[in-house]
Amino acid sequence: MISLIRSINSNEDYKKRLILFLKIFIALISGIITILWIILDKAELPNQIFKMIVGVWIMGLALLSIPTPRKEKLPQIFSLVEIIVISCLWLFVEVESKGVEIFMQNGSLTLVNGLAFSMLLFLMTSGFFLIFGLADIINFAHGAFFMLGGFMGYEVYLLSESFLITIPFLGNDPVLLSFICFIFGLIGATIILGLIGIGIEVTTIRRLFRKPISQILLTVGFLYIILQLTEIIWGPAIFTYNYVSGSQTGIFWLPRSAILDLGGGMRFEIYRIFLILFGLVIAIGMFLVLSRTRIGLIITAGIEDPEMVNALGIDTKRVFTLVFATGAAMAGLAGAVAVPQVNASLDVAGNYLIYAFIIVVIGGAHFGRFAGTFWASIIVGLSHTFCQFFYPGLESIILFLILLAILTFKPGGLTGEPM
Amino acid sequence: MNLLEVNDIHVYIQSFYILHGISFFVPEGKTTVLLGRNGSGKTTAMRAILGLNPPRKGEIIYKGVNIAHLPTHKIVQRGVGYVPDTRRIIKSLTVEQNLEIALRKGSKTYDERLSEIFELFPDFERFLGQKAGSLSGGQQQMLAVSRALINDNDLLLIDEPTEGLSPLLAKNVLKTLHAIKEKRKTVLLVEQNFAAAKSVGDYYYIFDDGKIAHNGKMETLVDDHELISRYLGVNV
Ligand SMILES: Nc1ncnc2c1ncn2[C@@H]1O[C@H](COP(=O)(O)OP(=O)(O)OP(=O)(O)O)[C@@H](O)[C@H]1O
Ligand SMILES: [Mg+2]
Repeated sequence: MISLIRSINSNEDYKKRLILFLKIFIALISGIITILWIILDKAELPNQIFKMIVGVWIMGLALLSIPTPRKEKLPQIFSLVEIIVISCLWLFVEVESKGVEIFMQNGSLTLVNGLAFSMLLFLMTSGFFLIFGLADIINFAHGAFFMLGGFMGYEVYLLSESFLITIPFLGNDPVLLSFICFIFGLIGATIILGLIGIGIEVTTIRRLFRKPISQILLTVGFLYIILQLTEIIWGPAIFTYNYVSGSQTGIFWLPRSAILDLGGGMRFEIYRIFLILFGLVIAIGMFLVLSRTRIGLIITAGIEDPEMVNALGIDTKRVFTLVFATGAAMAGLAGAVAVPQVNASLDVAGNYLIYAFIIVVIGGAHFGRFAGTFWASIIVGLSHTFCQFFYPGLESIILFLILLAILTFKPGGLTGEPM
Repeated sequence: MNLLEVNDIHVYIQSFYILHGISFFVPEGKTTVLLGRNGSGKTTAMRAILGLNPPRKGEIIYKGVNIAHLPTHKIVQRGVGYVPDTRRIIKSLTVEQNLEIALRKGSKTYDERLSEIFELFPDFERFLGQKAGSLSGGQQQMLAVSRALINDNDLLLIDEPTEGLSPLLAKNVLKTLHAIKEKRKTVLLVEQNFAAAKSVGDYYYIFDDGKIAHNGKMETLVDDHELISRYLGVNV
């Protein structure tokens, strides 16, 4: 503590000292709350304070992921200790009140569900990030792309089923048939949304380059057009986990009952594990493309300084069309792969748009790189799922707490340049 | 022979009228220097040539063709290399990746071009894998110059290459400018350091408030002390 205060007095510039001060402030507050928590019994502790502790815990988590220069490592170590202490206390209370078995079940289940949700968020947001980062366009229609991807995946699923069911060896194996149709659904949704993306970019968006207000109005317009069309065509949502409405076999390859049982009460839905692996594969693929291929390097460079990339002889408009189409296609893919979890429905468009905003701000869009979006997705997905499970009601504010912490300590986002 | 002829261009940035009818020539194989006070419009003239701030009126004739209304990448692809005033290297990429994205298809292989650059900047080889953002100011400037040299460009637009560098590094950059000149490259240079401009320039144009106040051969300017102190604020 003494060396912390001493480092405030050192000759670092004002801004750094301010940030350091805020960090220490948060650490102190959380320390006091922790002590209060230890002294008071959990049952007597007002619910609000308890929620605050979780908030501080998450803030500490967010702080930790911020790279700081070596000189400033101490507050980071402090927040690490704080996180470990609060986590241990929390673990202790949970285990004490509910028993080890139940705790292990809940904890591991939440972890897997949280990671699955994170991957879904990542798949959806990566396109939003690229579009925003490369051309400063806030694509309000992105959530609608995601939603439309769900309906498209569903339609392609039914369509390919009606064709493939006539093939004898598939017709006799409904699970395999369903799996193949699902894959077709993913590919179909990706391609259709990619084409819609190209269409929207070439006909409208490219004409509004560097006109932020018009861009927002335009993409909000597309959001409503897509929503209304979807409602007219499909009406309320119909595609669920267990039963595909309109399907001839009525069997989905991964029913909710498909469980991976590791013993000890750790039972996970295979679909979620599939989602995690699928998201990881796509993330690694995108990462390799962005860091190893020429077009990927151009996109990375374009996010940093599009005009200079243009002045290197690269047609940035074409690169942007490609990125917009890829972004829309990724949203479509995410929508189609998510359908068994989130159902294709109209609410999805708005909800997931907000997730995309939060993740991009947390991850850092402009100077940051792709990795920020990935880690921000994980932070958002995990904290949301954990809160939903353990402290229902908190999940809606937790994201804003994280956002607040990030904006306070790292205005440029996780991977953003220090100010 | 003039590689580039700028004829009476009028350039606006948003609604601000910045260049009020500028004309100048850039002869092949020579170094032409744009001089003038801060804010007189030198950078804007370069950006106009590149199509980053295209002129509302006037012609920019490059290799006999008017390029005034071509998009930037098309202009650059005709063999124009640009070293911007604030360097603008891509910080999140490595040095090598910076060169890679700058590279266009051409007669020589990447390795041949790279070895030419190592001749100019011998210690560059060590930095290839390093993130460009972690380079020192001087190294970043070398990267910005290399990025323009990695292609067989016919015209180099170099904006204040010695700005913000220590005298020693500035001397290094000047040596590079001489080396470029020896390769008979055509250069359009903005340089505030009069001594540097004098040593490398063949022709000069003095900008004053968006117009050309004076121009001629560098040798003649060197002796015109009154002109120098009036427009450049340099006492010789
Ligand atoms: N984005 C902009 N918006 C408005 N005015 C601008 C903008 N960029 C430049 N200007 C104005 O254009 C004029 C010319 O600027 P320019 O950068 O071309 O000057 P310069 O001769 O290169 O100066 P320096 O020697 O400082 O680099 C200046 O008066 C400047 O204020
Ligand atoms: Mg300038």
